[in-house]
Amino acid sequence: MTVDTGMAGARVDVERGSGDNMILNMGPQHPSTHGVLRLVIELDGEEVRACDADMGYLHRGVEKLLEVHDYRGGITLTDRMDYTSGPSNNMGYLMAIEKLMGITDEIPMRARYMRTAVAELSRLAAHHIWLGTHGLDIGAMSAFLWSLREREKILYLFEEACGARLTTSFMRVGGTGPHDVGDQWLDNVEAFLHGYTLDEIDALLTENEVFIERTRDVGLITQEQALSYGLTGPVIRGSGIAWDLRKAQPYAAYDLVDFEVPVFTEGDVYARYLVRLNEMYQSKRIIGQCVEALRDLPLDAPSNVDLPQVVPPDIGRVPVDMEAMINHFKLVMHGVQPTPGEAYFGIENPKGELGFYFVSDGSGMPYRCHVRSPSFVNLSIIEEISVGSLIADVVAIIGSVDIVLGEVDR
Amino acid sequence: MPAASPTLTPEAILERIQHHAGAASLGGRVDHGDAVAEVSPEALPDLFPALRDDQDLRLEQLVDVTAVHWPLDMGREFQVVWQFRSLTNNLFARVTARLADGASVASAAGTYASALYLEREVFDLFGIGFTGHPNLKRILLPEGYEGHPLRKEYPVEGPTFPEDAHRNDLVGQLDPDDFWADVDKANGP
Repeated sequence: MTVDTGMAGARVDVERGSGDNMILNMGPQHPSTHGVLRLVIELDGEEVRACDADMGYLHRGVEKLLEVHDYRGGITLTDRMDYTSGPSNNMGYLMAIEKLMGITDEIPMRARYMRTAVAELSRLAAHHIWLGTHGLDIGAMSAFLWSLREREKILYLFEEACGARLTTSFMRVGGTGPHDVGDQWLDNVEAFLHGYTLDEIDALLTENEVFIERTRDVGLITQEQALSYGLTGPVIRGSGIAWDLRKAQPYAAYDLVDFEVPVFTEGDVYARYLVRLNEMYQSKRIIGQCVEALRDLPLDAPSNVDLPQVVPPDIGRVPVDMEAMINHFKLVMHGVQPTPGEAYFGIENPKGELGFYFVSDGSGMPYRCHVRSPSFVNLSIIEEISVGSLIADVVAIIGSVDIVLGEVDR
Repeated sequence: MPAASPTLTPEAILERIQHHAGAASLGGRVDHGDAVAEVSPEALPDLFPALRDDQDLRLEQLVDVTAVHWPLDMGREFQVVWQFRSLTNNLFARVTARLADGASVASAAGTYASALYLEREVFDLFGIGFTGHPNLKRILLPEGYEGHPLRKEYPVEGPTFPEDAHRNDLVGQLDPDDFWADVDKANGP
């Protein structure tokens, strides 16, 4: 069997090997492949000569399933893709539907701030998993434990807001749905932010000589490669390109909050580490501003758009109000029905640009829904940049690209 | 450094793309604020580098490649969709082309490396060929898998799902009287 690597010239020949080179099968049950990724690596001594990524072990056919669920039913499928940041995935899906329906500008302020706050909380949670496991791969054990401790606090906040920790299915088309939060939740978020610090982890890794030796000048990605491979998110910002959809095409409340986009030019594993670490400080800033803004809004500010064909009526009105009952019935039976057309919308997920491409035929279910998953696209660079590096560095490279296999395979 | 706001309107982007496609341009529109150009497939090999190198556009990233199956549209069943983005100019554009079932389309892998994986995914799930792709094989499904799941005729349950295990069939066989009799029995007198 011949395994092509996708790169011109470099291919792994499993049967013959290439002379004295050794073929190593890494994964799919390998702790540092972060899930079920399989790498077929051709080794000359410890040096990688060719690398072929094999994926699909978690393929569940999400895109096919989205075609047989109505628009609201599909929400539950989205947080099972990048399961480290469920609410953020939900938000990308919902905002793509809102773009398809042309109601993006009508989303009330309360929903926009809440979405921003929750998306940034999930970015923190996702980056904490990355930070912990990335350190663990390289041998820094303590960072893992401290990192997951902080993440746990965020999951408690999700649980309080919507009842679920990982697969949140947070929010609905047109606003926050039933998941509006009260002052108590805002108090808890503020308490979390007050006690939140990255200094311990920062002190453990950033100046750690072993960590720097393992990450600096490893897995270099040039600007040209980053553009050609379609990389997004922290990976492209570690190569000196200041591209962030939150700044370039602001959505939700990102145009109303003040934050910076950290960029590092080195393009190595260490630069990508610094990008994510600094991003976490910025996320903390954004969440604080959103909480303040939510407090300033009047208590009766709407959190859902006032469109009966999108948002179900107040349940108390349904038995006594004929019109509310009709709207409720139509929404339950047929779901939201965008006019025929197509739309693509991408948001800045913790891993990069998460895009949803919808084709509507006017019915309550999407005719086609394609998920542009950041992990899948970012993964393609691994086959190229791992060539010429040491086998131990491949582990660092996988960690620095930060993939989630649930999203790669969908 | 990326531009803070788009340097061209969607109409201007569309006009530039249609200029590069020339006679192969089959129309276009601005859909939900995005420029969408439909071209004939033979224009694509020259169109990809032209879009990337045009200094006004600079669509340097191929963000996404996907397809839509329209089985009733005989002779042009597949719509392949490319989404481009310029980071420098902060632009977004979509190019579509229609193909017959079984036809192939030019690969963008020579211009955009992101097409290496994205086109393999379309090949895997739709069975659309990409000529010039260096390594076109299945990516998500195992080698030797039969069929292409995102085609409309492919059943959601999978081709080997036993027919009598289908939930709707079981519901059809249920006698409602028997059902309520069982419930009454279970609840006791």
